[in-house]
Amino acid sequence: MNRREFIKTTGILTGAAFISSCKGKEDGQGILPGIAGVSDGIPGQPVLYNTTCTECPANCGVSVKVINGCAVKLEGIPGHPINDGALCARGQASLTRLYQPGNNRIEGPLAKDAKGNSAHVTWDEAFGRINQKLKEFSAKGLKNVFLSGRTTGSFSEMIKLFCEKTGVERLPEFEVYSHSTIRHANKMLFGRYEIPAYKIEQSDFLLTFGSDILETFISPVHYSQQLVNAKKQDNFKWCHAEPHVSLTGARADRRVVINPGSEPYLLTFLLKTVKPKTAGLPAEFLNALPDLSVEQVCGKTGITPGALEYLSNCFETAERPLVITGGVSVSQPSGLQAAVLTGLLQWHIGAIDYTVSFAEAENYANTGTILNVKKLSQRLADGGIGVMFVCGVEMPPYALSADFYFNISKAGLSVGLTELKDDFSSGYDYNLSVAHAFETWGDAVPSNGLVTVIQPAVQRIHDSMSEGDILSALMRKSGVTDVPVDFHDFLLKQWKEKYGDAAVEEITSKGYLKTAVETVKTEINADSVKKFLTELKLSEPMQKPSIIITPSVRTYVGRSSILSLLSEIPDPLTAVSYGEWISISEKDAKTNGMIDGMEALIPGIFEKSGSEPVKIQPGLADGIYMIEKDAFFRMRLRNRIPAMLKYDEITGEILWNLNLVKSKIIASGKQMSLPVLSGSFSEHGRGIASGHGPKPHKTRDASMYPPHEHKDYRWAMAIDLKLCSGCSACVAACYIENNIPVAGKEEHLKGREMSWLRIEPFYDEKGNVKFIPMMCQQCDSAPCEPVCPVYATYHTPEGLNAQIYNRCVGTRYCSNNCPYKVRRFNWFKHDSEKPLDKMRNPGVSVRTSGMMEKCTFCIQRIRTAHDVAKDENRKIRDNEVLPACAQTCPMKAIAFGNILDKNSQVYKRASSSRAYRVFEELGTGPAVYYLS
Amino acid sequence: MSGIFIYEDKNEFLSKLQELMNKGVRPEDISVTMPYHVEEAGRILKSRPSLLKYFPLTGAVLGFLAGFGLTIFTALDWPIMTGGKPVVSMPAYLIIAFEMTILFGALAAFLGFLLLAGLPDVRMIISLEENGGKFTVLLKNEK
Amino acid sequence: MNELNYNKDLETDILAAMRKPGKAYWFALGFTSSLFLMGLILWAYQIKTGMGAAGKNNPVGWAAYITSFVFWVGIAHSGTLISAVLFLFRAKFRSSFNRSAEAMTIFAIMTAGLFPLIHLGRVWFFYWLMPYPNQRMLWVNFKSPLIWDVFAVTTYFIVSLIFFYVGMIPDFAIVRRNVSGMRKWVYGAFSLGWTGTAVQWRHYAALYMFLAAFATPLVVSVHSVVSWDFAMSIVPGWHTTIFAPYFVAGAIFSGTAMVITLVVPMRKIIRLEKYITPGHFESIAKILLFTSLIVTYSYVVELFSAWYSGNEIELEVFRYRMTGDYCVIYWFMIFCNVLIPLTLFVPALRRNIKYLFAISLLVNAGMWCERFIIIVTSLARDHDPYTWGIYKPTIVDAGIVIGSFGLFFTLFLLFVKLLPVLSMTEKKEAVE
Repeated sequence: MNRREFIKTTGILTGAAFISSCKGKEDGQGILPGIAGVSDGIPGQPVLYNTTCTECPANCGVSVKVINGCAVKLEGIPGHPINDGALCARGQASLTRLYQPGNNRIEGPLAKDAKGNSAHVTWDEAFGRINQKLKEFSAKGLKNVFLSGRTTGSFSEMIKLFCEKTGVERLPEFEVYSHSTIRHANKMLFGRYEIPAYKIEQSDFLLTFGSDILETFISPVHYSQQLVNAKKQDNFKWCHAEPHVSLTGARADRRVVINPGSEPYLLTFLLKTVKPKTAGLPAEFLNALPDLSVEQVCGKTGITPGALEYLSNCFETAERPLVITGGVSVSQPSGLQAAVLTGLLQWHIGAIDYTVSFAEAENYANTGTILNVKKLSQRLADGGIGVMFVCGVEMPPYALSADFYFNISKAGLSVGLTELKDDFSSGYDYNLSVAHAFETWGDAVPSNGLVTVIQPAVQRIHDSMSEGDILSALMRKSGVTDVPVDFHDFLLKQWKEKYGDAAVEEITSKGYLKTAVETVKTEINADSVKKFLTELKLSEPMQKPSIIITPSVRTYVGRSSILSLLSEIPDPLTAVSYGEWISISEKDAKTNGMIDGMEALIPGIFEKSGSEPVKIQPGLADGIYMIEKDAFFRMRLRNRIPAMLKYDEITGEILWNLNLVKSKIIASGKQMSLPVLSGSFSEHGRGIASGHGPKPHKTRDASMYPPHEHKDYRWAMAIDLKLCSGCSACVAACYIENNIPVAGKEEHLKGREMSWLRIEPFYDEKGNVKFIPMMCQQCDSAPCEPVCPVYATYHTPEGLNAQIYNRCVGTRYCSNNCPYKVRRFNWFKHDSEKPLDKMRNPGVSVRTSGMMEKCTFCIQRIRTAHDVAKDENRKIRDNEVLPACAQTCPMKAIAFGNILDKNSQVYKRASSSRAYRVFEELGTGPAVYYLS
Repeated sequence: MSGIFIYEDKNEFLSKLQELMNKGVRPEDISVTMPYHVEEAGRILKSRPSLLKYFPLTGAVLGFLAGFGLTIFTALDWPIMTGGKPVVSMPAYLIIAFEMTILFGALAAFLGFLLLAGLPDVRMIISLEENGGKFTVLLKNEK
Repeated sequence: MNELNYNKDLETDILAAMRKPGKAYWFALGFTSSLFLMGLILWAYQIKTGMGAAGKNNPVGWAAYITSFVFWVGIAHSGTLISAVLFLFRAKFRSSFNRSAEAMTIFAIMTAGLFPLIHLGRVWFFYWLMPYPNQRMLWVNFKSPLIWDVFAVTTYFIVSLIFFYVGMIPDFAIVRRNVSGMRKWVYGAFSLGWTGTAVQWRHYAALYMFLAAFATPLVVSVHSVVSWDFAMSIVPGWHTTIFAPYFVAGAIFSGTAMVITLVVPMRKIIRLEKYITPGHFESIAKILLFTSLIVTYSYVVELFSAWYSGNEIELEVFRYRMTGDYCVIYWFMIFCNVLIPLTLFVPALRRNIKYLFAISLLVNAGMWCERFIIIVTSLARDHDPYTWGIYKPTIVDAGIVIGSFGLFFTLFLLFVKLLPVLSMTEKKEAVE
């Protein structure tokens, strides 16, 4: 009897003994979530719950993979109208929000005592006291108010009901990205205070001004998907104009750098010169626009005549052009002009009601602006507010609303409906612990014509309630009886009422429901256009130097920064992981004698030493300094400088920039610790991301050893670098799927990140960047394998470079010998903080100190696919199995499959003339093909 | 003739040996100890060359075979492919075979020496008759 | 007669060295053994916290520990060279150095052998590197240069130990005669009851010859195998065919320097000036000079082949070595290993023992730096520029490396007091 037989036999015997001694456990609640039905309860088998991602207002559809009662992974719902299976990095990481360690989440309702210390109270106590205060303040003639973040769908209805029944005043909702300039411009031109849906896939030329459609602008994953579809047309072109450097600009076919605030000049020029394929704007409007010569436009905007000609040509050849202005281009002093001129241009080129659709407009109906917050702040200061409810409002303190922050205490009673602790929550008198979206029922209406479900996937971890339940409980406790018993009840009523009884089943199983939209015939408001044009005086571009506060693909406006995984993944443009920094241009760095990580001082802004390090950003215009929004808030918080950001008095748009006018960045000479994970931004001519590496003098087929064959499968990957936007969603997915530990800043500074998959940015001399996702290349003749003394890594019959964790003794020879350096050594034992350990994927073993780990092409998924295929007596189909990275890619850049199958997508891509393999000349025979 | 002869000087010792041989004493009857190796003594006593050479030869051959044997057997015992190389990759195994040739050869030589030189000799661990750093000639079979 | 007096004095002097030690000796032993103890404590700390306690990272997975491994294996080499190769060449001056050199070999391999263990992520599974039948039916990967290392270093240790021991058997017999009590039994047992009969001497001479004959190719193979740890990889700066001879020459170079470092104070302290003469030192200085020239040639060839290959990736590593983060170490290495030994062309300097001692220290330092430069800079500037990074040693790396010197010198100090430091029988034979 050999070892295997021995284990089999003992396994069967102990198994039999164990099963026969089992007793049915009556209370299985501790293990499986309450909502898991009988059929869902197979231990170890994943159950998928379709719900909605609430990490940003885009509301992508996600299915939560639940194993043994724990949510282990999020994946986009295939076929979902917003994201069709894909998810961004923030979406992937949002699962860690659910399992935030206890000190970040509020574990039960809290009340402040007289001394200002928070203590746990029961729900009944909290509700009783709040209701009592509501009545008390109403009697005194004070106003009770309800302020929330952007809400849609049934919860919005619930707030309405609550406010009606209890006499609370509902305030306009606050969302940092209110897009109020665009809405204001659309109101002015077309009478619609709305953000239209942009149909990028129906256009053949896209011109974007500042709108970071791949990062944070409205619905980035949706736009990514649309871009992929648009790029399927051979003649599709995309030009992005921006004053700074963004991922969106990096991915565009052509990036045009313009002076900040000079957008109106370029737009006016285009309005005057573009010949529309349709009726266009009436001549009187066009004639009212100022005449600009090419020299004038180039002088104001800083673009070259060549670029201008390129734009004109694109408009000329395009049948269905589309212009989108947003992001940094509207959040600046001339933003409104830019937005209105964009609207005019959209009308002029015939995009309105075609590629710019108001019928499917984004749902920002209840959303106000910072102006509303300012008003509230004033009311608080005047002492006119009784109970103030604050629900899901995310307001980076100090920078945007320092006065509001300090005035909260002037409310009679402040009640926060809080999920995670933030800078505001400590100021509330009551903190009612709100359950995570994956623990509760709800819905969302992200745009006209679409409703998505929010349904519980796991049992509640803490003593928390959903916002809807809190409101309904408050109402019932105050004696109102003609309201639904709980929010779920309310929800079902709403759905039945709005969409019919049959829709309930569809919405909960599919996760979304498409509803009918009325066709819209948009009219232009000639009077207000005329008024605008007669008053139009193109505003001067902003003066340099100025700081542009940019959105971040990792933290949105900062709300995702609490998720440490997103700090662990480096910013794709700078490869900086943890901390804050100021990006400056290469020339500015040179003239100031600055290198990466050197402390920067800006007179009037960062004067104190111990402030912020700089990072040189290739491609950035001189005199422009970039700070991520999230980093900016933290800088303000740390330096305790009052709000310095201005906002547009008309539109309420926050102006995300600081004009420095006279002062400029200077070096303090101190070197700070800045974790830049990239060793070099240059390819050094090695053709890693550009595909024309050094070729050997003569390709030698001669090897000491004969080649080897694979029988049925040879797993391979093909990544189209023309699609890859560097968004790092794949990296986040990889971390979560494979239980990769978060190492932290100190380890990053030592060069010990643990990522199996990374995005490497490589810049050319002109500052153009190419991203390349780098993971284990699963080489045919892997250099790592023969050097391992204990066979801990070997070549599987299906071509994978397998790593046997518990066989590894930790010589690190394999990592040394890997030219791609994609192996990761566990320098320490990484324990995840509770309850984050619940997220562990049971399909992937956790690793301990002293062993090497690496990408396996998600072998656990391949294994599962094999099992299924074997049961059905067939081979694994193409696209049946996808690694986590390929699955989540918003740009669909990663193809995976069996390269022996000539019909597979990966084979087709790998045989493209654009295909190449990194360091092919070394003879490693990688299985990852890149398409340059 | 009988008895024991002790010399401090190498040359006196050698001439005594020569003298004894000339007298026709059989080399087997002469027992000699030396403080260091003197080759001439062996020549005078007409000793045959040491048989030791066969031990390292056997050891080395066995080591060479064992080296290849071990590597090839273990590779085939559970064939695992690494780095695209065949399961049995002789160039790599040659190194192991070489090292084992040396190891077995040296060990065999040492063991052969112990066998031939009659060591370890427990009776002599503390020699009762200490001759110091001197040459001695002992005649055994008196005739 | 002169010769007889010499032989008597020799025994007296050597045995005098083995008497009860003085204060200075105890102080030295206390110092070196506490360094060793410190190294052990740091190692225990590293095992407890994880490999991250040392300064390594991705991409520099090997650094101070493997540097020290190569360094100590290199030190070992000259012991075998002096005892085996010079024996085959019948170089008379060998007998002044061979015992210390062989002892140095043994201790250096013991020290070196610790480093592959220290650098293992999971040292508690070190025995997985040995081919032994086990219930998991797993063997080791004989294609891995690390397994070649295991075999080469183990063989080297065993053969060197036999060689060392065999050389001492007649001397143990002499010691046995001159001591009393318990020690008589101990040395007697180690002498295996050696009496020095003509038969014993005849086989002994044959054995010694065979061992020398085995040790000579072995010494070449061992450092070649160590060099193949690097040369068999595809890391730029490592993957080159000259590594085997380059490393062997470097090993003998550093080992010879270490012999001088050890013998100069030993000769002084235990008054062996009569037996180890400036003439002997001159001969060994010539070896030092000769190997330095080979090492210099290797440096030049390495650079030339990088340039001649036209391979930018390879060239970048050498550019980095000369101008990058570690350039000070690189130029210090050139100073110690290339420039300073050139002064040995002056005969007077070759006989100047103080000068030789100073040079030997510099060469030791230079050779440690050489291995550091080869290992660290190559990994730091690998193929993919994104992964470039640098290694900074921590207190754990530094402490363990220093601790290894503590171990080596502790062992050598014990050797000086417990074993005959010169081969008395050979010295006697040689003096004729």
